[in-house]
Amino acid sequence: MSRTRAGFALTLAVLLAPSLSLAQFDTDHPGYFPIEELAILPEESINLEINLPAAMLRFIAVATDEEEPELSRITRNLESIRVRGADLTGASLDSIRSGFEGAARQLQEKGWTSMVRMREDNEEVNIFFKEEAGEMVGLTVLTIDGQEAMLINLVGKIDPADLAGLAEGLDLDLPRIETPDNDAEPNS
Amino acid sequence: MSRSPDSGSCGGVQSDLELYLDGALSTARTHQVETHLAGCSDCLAQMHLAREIQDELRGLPEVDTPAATIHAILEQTARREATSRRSTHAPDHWWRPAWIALAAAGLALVVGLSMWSRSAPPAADADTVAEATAEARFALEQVGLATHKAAMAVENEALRDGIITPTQRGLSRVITHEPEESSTTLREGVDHV
Repeated sequence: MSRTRAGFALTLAVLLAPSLSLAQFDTDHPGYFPIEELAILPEESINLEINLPAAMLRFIAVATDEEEPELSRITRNLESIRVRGADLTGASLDSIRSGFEGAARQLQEKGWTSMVRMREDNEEVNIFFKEEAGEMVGLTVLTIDGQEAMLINLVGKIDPADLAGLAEGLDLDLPRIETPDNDAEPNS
Repeated sequence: MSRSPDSGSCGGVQSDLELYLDGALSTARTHQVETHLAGCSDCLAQMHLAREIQDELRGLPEVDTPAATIHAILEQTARREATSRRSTHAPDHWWRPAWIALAAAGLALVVGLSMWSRSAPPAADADTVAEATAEARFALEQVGLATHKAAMAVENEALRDGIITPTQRGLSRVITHEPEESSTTLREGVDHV
């Protein structure tokens, strides 16, 4: 080995160090579900991909600590967020729904629990969670909303109380759910 | 140090260690190197060290190396290369400590950069974090939206089917098995609750 080669090896090692740690996502984590491999959404229709590994989520947690404490708290406990979204214009809704059925079977075979499965005319919501040692460690959401479909996998510790807060705390314009509590105070 | 007669010299084997660890040697050469390693503790130790260094490098966190740092490293490498060309013949195993020292320096540099980038992210990283924050917010909003829709659907179904009063329904079922007179009394009582 020449001196040049040693120097070259070092340079390469330093330059390639970022790409060597390609295992950004812990695929062995119990809350991980490979939504990318489901082949539910037609490849050409996919218009959204979000891949946030743990390191980035830590940055987000720190960056939002003061202004968005809820977002900060949730992201601090997550290991990854992955989303695939597709525009279903021209696609077969039946085929997507059939894909969701298959995914639901896969999830349940892998020990995921179905939290909610709701289907209406052109809407569908499937929420599955993975539990380990009494804690929710993963959440997989499969949705159809009109002409859009979305597959989401959150990996990491998730407080069930946060699920309700996610919609309400993040400025979404949503219809109000009537509960005995807010029935008593309709303007609250 | 013992040596198999057809497995090559220590120098030759150690020159090929990197390629061996990368699985880039031919099958025949791989066999030769393995035969040599099986009988040469010195080269085996070198191989373990090289593998350890590779593993350490692979285990390092992801770092965006600043362009200035890359430039500085390339410059330094070029300078060393020039010095190497001017130097006279070096001893047989001169590169071993040099290689280890260089690798150690590389490790220190990458770890240092990692710590530096975490404590003081450069401006470009701030944009990336802002973009990632928007993505995380969007993803969590979608989960919240799905949860909300599901809750609405469950609530509507519950109202439609009357399953928000399970206690009353349960009692009614039990009451039907009670004697006729008490059943009526209780059922009225339940229905008016």
